[in-house]
Amino acid sequence: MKVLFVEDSALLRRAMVKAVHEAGYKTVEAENGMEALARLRAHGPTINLVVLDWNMPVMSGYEVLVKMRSQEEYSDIPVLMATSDGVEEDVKKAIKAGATGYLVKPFTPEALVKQIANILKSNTGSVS
Amino acid sequence: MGSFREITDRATNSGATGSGMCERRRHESTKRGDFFRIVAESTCEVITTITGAVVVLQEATTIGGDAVSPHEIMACMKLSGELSGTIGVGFDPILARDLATRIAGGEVCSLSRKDILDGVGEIINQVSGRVRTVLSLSRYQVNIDLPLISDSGKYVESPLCDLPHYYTLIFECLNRRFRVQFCLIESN
Repeated sequence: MKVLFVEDSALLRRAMVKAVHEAGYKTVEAENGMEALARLRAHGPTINLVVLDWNMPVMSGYEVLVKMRSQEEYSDIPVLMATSDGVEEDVKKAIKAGATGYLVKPFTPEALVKQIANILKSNTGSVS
Repeated sequence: MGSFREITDRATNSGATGSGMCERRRHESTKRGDFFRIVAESTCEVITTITGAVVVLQEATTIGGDAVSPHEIMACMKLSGELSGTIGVGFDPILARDLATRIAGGEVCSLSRKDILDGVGEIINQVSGRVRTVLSLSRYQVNIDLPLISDSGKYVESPLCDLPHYYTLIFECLNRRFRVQFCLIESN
């Protein structure tokens, strides 16, 4: 399984990628929304999940989410918003725009891995 | 030193003129106390969660001017909306490096200066985000910008903040002290 991390903090991205590698996933990284779209074009159908920060320079995570949902080739890729924005209105806005999950910072690497696992498990249609 | 509540209450009540405090000052004092607690709790929660380090509030005061160590690594976020102002954090370089190392998952040797500044920026980003979320529960609609980071010992001040002083919270973490300074005013 391959996860695309979109996060402008290189340090935080490193921490998340480390945790996810240790859990057995492959990763791709982007530091803003424009790069995220470029990674999607390059890796396309091999990406199983996008972990998306909201507040980023160049292009916000919300804009990336809207663009993904408007393009057929990316519309089914699950998106986990991982952001310091926990305002209820913004959470609802993201879910309405098509976010699959929402994780509010601060969170531990373990919590992130757990959320990723839950989403990927649901998305593969596993029967428990 | 006192408990968390005692420390923030002492800071809230500093400057009171005894039993003759007027209603307006009591209301402002209550709000200031709420802001102290929100900022203090957000700071403790964020740093403890993302670094695993214990954070203890030591002191809460108001200060005049901007008494800043030239060696501090500092980052701040501007807030705007129904409340405006700035929240900033200052660490000595060793603590900044140690916290950044913990955020990255413990790889000490590979941290660059840029990584350390990134870590400080991420801390203030998450603290401000947490403050914003909590304020929204009290019906304050507040927006935050991207963090401004400086290691030249000088805060970037919010142009909307015309208060003569900041409120300061002093914390201890990994046997070192760091501070969070903030000013928040209601926009008209």
